Amino acid sequence: MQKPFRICSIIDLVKALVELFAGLALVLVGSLMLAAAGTQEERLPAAGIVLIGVILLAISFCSFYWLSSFKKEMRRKDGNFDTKLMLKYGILAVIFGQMPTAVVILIERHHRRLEQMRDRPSAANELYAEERPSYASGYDAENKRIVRVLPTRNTKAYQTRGIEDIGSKNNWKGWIYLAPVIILVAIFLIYPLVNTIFIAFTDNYKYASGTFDGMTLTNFTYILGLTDKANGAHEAYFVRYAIPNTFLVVIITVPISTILALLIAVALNSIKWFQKILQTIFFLPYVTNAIAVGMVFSVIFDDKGVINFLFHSDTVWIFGANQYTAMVPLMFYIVWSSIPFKILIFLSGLQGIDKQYYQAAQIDAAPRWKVLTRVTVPLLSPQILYILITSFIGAWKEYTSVVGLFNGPGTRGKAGDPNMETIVYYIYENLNENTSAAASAAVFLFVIILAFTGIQFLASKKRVHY
Amino acid sequence: MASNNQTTKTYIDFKSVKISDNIVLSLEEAGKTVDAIKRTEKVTRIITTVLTYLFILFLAVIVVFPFYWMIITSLKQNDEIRDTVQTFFPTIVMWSNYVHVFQVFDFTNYMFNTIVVAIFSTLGTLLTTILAAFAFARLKFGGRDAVFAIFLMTMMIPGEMMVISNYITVASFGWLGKGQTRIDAYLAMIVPFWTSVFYIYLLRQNFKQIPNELYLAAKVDGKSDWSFLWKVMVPLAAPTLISITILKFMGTWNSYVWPNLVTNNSDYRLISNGLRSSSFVDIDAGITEYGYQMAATVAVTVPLFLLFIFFRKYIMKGVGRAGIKG
Repeated sequence: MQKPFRICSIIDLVKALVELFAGLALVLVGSLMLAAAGTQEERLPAAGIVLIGVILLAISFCSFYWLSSFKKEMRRKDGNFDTKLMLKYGILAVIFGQMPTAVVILIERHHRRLEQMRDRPSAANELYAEERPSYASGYDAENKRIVRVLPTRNTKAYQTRGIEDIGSKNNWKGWIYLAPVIILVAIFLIYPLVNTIFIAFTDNYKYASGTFDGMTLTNFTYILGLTDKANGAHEAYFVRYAIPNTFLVVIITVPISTILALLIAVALNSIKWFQKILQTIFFLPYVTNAIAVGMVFSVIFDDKGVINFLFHSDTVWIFGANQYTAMVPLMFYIVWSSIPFKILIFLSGLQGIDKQYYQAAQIDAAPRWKVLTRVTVPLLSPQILYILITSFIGAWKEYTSVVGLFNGPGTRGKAGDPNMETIVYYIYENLNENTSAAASAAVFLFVIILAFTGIQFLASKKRVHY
Repeated sequence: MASNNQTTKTYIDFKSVKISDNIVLSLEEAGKTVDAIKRTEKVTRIITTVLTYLFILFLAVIVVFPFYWMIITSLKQNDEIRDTVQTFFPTIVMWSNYVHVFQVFDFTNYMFNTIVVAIFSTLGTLLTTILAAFAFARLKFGGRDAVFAIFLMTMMIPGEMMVISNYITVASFGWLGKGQTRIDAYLAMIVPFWTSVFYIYLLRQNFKQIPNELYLAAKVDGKSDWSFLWKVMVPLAAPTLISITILKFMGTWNSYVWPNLVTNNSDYRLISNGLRSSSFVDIDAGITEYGYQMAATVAVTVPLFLLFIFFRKYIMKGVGRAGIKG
């Protein structure tokens, strides 16, 4: 049974490898020709060769993708494809450019159909002779009752909870296993936490020598601009830029990205075709370098860039922009880069929801938006809470996006104010020269995040259904 | 549907009834034939499917667009990039941008640094994580649960709290300052990240799912805890370990703040720092050459993409469970 599929996967593998090497060779030759070419006429065929090479490479990647997914499906189905699945895979193979496979599968399907036509019993026979060994739900004629087999949540092969090492009640060796981690955590997690809080209350801490001029509370009033330092230094930027910028990022990007991610996840979950590929596309922003993509966005939002060209505007978004205009690309970038993780979490949550709820809603003829708000969202509430908490914490700590987009704390370079500064940016900027102020800003952030997370937990108690 | 005849009661054969075949009649549908209702249902289903695809494809285009723009900008001439009319494909493909970038941007050096730091911090993390997760999941000793609770609580603390003091700690180890050697810089970038509470938590959950019978069988065969850990548990938890490795690698590839703080020679820094601090200014024109800049970003992004293509399953699974970057 599996033979035709095995043959076509071997053909495919050979084909994909040939395509890969041919594509690489063509790209190489084409680029060499491009480099050697002098005139416009000579460049054209060289560029054509490169293009063909790239297309070949793309096709070979398609082949590899196809091969892996097809093999997985074969293993899952144990080689038993019915005619419907074979048609689906035949068409998919055509789409992915796997002509040999498509021909093999479709011919096999044709044979199978012919066999079925021959073996098929008459309609009347089928009605009575049909026997289903296991019923998911139906009418049990023998015992005269309706049978419904409900899926349980913990259908696992092994009991996995509550297992302990029964043999040893008090195993001192455990501490040896834990020793490296405990030492590292103590040095790089616990001690710094205590020390940072301590520094926040010291006056004029010098990190190189570890000296300071006594304890004080003025660091907090200093960063908030209420009091000046002894040497007359005044801090205006923390209140004017860092706090409002961070607040804006938090209250705008978190709801937008969460709602958008939820909608995308629900849509992705409802479609049949290309689900996996689209899922992968929406995950792409996660596997990028934050600085690199920030630089790309600053090119896209350049005053002579593609956004202004498409919308026929001449707004200055990035360099030389004012504070609130520059927020637009920043927030766009933050939403763009934070969506993939949320979609992934929501999708895994959606796949865990029992289908019966939707069937019940269908029987009640509930409209789609009501299904979304009354079934999906409440059942997804643990995931939504998790996403909200992690993304609020993440948004409070926004830093690399600013560096990537603006290459500094402000839109006007070193000359202007640091008008795009966030709280974390402020901490890093003052780390060296003004360690006490940086530490008190860190404590400030810590308290805000703790309070915020606490409020979210309290507010969620009534609304989250575990 | 059901007959009113009381004497001959008929049962519906549930076997052949599917929910999608059921037609629900509501008040506003009174007077319509079943066929008409079925038809309208079919039409609405097709319309919603089309709308869903349009919505998803529109957003997918937005998601992909920055990557597309990055690649084509990296192949454009500077004049074309700054032209008033933006082109969606380069009129002249400038492979020379890449040649220039590899001369200006010391890609191999930054790449080397990043890979060294990634490998050693990953190895350290794996070792400490495996040992701790084993102790938490399998061994029983006084104070275990208290220590685990403290560990979990530290996950709530923002990393920025720790950076200040860690900076001071690393400085007091002598890894910072004027006479910093390459080894010092590597140590400063590697050692503070040798432990991750989250990965310990993740691996502990995985270890707990390994059935008790295996442990007891190993005990009967006279195996010690140590050899049971390395011969049985680690191979069984390999997928999680691979996920941790890849996420850690991605984290190093992305790390910007800490390497920037603890190195004072730009030769010792990592790839993100190199990318941001390299200047792609054209000397003649005095303005930033976006073509060069984008070629450099492509060079930084491609290795991550390759990693993603080959380990898509592990990355997506790991992120789904882990939910943090690095």
